Parts: sequence; C-alpha cells; structure tokens
Amino acid sequence: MSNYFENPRLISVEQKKLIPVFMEEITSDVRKLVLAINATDSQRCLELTHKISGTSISFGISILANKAELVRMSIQENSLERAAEELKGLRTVLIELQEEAKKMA
Amino acid sequence: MRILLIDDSQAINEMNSYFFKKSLKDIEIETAKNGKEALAVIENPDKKLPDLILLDLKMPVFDGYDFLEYLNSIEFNYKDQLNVVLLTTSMNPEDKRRISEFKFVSNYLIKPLSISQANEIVTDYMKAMK
Repeated sequence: MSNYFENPRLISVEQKKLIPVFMEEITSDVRKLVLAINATDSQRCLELTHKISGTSISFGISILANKAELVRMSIQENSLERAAEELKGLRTVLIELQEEAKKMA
Repeated sequence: MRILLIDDSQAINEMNSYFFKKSLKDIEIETAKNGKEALAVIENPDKKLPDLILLDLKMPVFDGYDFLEYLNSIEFNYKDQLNVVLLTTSMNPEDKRRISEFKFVSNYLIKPLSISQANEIVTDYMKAMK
C-alpha cells in the first residue's frame, strides 16, 4: 500500500492539517453515493462522483479520483450494475486512505 | 483584499483558502458551498463586495451558470468591478465558450488550483490596483 498523502499537493504541515477535513467529506460523500446507487438515482450519482473526483484531485489523491470517474462513466453509460462493481474499487481505496489517515493522526 | 471562494467541497475551499493566505498576508476570505450562499454574501449591504470570486461550475442547488446568469440579470452598485475566476474540472470547450460571454469573468482555470496560480491571481489584482 502506497502512502497516498505523501504527494506534491500536500507538502506543508498546514496542508496536512486539512487531511481530516478531506477524509470526513470524502467518507460522507462515498456513503451518499452508495445510497444513491442503491436508490438508482443516476443524477445524484453523477453529482457525487463529480464532487469526489474534484476533491480528490485537489488533494493529490488521483487514484481515488480515477475510481470515482470509473463509477461516473458506468452511470453515464446507464449501467448501474457496473457502477456498483466500480464502487467496490473506490471503497477499497477509501478504506486504505482511512487507515493511512488514522496512522497520521 | 477580499476573496469569496465558492465550491460545494469544503475541503477544496479550505485548500484554496490556504493557497491565497500563503500568497498574501492581508487577505480576508469567505467561503460558500453553492451559488445561493454566495449571493447572500454579495447582496449583504453590510459587507463590501469581494475583490475576487473564485467560482466552481458544477454544484448542486445553484451552480456556476445559475450564479453568473443571476448576477448578469440584476443591477447593483459596483457591478462593473466584479472579478470572477472560474475554477472547474470541465475541459469542455462549450463550457469555456459560454463562460467567456460573461464579461466579469476574467479567467477560466482547471482544477486543482496551484499555489503559483493563486500567487498570480493576487499579483494581477495588486498590479491592477496600483
């Protein structure tokens, strides 16, 4: 497992202090995404994957942004079934991030 | 200098706020998570209009387009002094074209904002003020 928070977007101590804000928001958004997929609410899924992707890019966590994009593409292709599959990959990365954030706290 | 950051991600607003505070000591930053919250800041008669607005395009509730179209449609003091910079993940040329029609939008940037871009925005503003 690589250290996702050691990246060029998070250099200073002040920036690293924003990691809990990022984690709280991303965890909440992924939870909402699970609910939206279960409810087959495509519009909400698109909004949430867009937000997860943009926030992850801003914190240099490109792997999470890519996973969110895969979910988004599946939804755009009207395949909620595939979106649910891609969501598993996104949640795996999220769990790794949560573990890493815990170690840093 | 007073900046209003509009993004539905609080984490992004805080990261961008950090960049601007690094770029200029004497800076006042407000944040809003959608266009509606931002309008409440702009339309507050007790507050000075922000010198710069950093605006996300895609937000639920009241997005970047809604916000810009509303500003375009109303009359208020110092409207000609409005300076909006778009900060978006959209590389769609159609978005860029539509945004260029709003005369108070001075720049269209792709996320993520870098510290050097924040520096440049602040420097340009300071030069314009001289």
